[in-house]
Amino acid sequence: HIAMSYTALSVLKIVGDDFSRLNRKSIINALRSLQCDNGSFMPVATESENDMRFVFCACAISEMLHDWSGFDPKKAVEFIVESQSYDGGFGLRRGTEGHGGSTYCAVAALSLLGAIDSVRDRTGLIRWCISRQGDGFSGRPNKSSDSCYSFWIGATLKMLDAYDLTCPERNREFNMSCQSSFGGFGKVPEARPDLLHSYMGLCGLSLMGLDDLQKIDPVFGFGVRAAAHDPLEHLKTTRGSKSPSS
Amino acid sequence: MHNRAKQDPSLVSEAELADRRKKIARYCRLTSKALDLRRSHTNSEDALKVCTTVLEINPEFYTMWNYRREILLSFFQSRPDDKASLCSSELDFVERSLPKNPKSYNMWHHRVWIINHDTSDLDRELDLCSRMLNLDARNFHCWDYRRFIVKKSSKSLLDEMDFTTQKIEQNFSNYSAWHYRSSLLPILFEGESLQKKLDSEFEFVMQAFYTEPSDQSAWLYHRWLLARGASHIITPIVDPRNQNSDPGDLSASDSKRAKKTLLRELSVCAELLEEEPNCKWVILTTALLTSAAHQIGHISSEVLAEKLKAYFLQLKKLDPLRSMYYDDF
Repeated sequence: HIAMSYTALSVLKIVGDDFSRLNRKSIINALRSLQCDNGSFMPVATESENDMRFVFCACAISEMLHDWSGFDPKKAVEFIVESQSYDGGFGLRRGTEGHGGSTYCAVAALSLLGAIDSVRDRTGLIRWCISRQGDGFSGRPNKSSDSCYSFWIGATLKMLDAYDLTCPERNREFNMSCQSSFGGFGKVPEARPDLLHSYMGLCGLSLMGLDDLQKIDPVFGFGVRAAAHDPLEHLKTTRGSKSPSS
Repeated sequence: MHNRAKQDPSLVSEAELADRRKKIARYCRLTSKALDLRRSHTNSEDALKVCTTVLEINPEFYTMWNYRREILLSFFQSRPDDKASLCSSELDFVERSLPKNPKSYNMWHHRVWIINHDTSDLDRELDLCSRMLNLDARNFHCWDYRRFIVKKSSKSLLDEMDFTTQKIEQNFSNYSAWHYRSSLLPILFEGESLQKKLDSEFEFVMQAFYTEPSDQSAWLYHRWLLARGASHIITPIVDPRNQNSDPGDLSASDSKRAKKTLLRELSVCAELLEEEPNCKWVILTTALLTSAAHQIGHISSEVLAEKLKAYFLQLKKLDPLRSMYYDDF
């Protein structure tokens, strides 16, 4: 499952693995059978759903392995760009509602593809993200704040160089109020804590820069130390056949 | 609804712990059995039963849904006459399971897969969508599924437009309905018919923002209508980098119509502003339209500067969370 491949590689990076036991070629080849005609990605090679989540996974995998030969990046960019909604946010695919999760996936994927300038309505996108701030951040208009969007939306704004337009103090207040007295973060104050909101809530706090937390790489969603750990650095090219923009 | 942690989750009685361990052991046994069956390519009724039991406990185990589809595909081949009834029971199964997690990607996708095999009762699907949307008007899985069914059934998109009208009239802050409307409008209308339709859309959205001026849904739709009706004027204001202000392809009558629309909307907003001087959305929209009025030579630079200064000062006071954003203007 493409999301499991992405997560597995991320974990390996975080723990400082040297990637020597990976069958890199088969991972990249698998991506070929996962890309759809319209540029989107399925998670598994049998008939399945396809959407922005898996586009991001494909891009993150390719970047971590420094091998972009597994899919057609132009089609992927086209799919992403077409998924921007009338109000500036990105949906899971064309015609769907803009949502914090899919917006993050879209912008992070475009960053990895070196194609963030392809966004048709950048000001609309920034405006949409900024409008998500209430006490914390919500995932869509007219929805309540949820601690995980401090990452999804926060990271998106970081990638767009517009994070300074937010109000981090208020955001921090909200996230902290989601902290359970038993440990961990829930989605809203007094909610049962769970791993997802603990992870995203902490990442969100790190982005705010107001607490003594390790810096997070907004594109990957884990620490900069881990993001910098690159056992395949010798494969990295800025130009050439292995990079997405060629 | 999220779970409320009323007490320390780790303070559990021995009896409850024992019960949990029993449930976990059972679940592990079942999943092991299911995965063994799959590994041996067993596509039998028993396998389907095991699969069903696992999914009843945990509908998020995606591998089980994949296995389920493999079993069904083999049944479709070996028992083609049963295909319709098999599909119908699958739809029953998903419908029973959906309340556990109405936002489950897995379950909605399985339904899509079934419908791709059997489209005999699409009305049932539309009915399901209506019921699920009554429970949660913002369930985007359900909205996406509805769009999929509409496409399959070649239901009239004009009827869908009416559906969004109904939903919006039920609740003006149904953002998902406004969104759907925005995607239908350009498909249903273009050119001259779009321009005519825009006038009635402006009427419709005005009713919404007059009734609930503090709800953003209507305002965002309104902003979008403005951009559709007069993009050559609106776009450069909103995005100064995009100097797409050449109305080259625009006919004289279209250009005249765009100006008329902008000035009409400015007057509507200015009137509302008198009744709602502290409503952020009214001020923001009035600011946008005032800039547009300046673009078309209707007001001078001096008046524009004075008005915008006042509007943005007010906005910073009313909406301090976005103070930095307003400063950026």
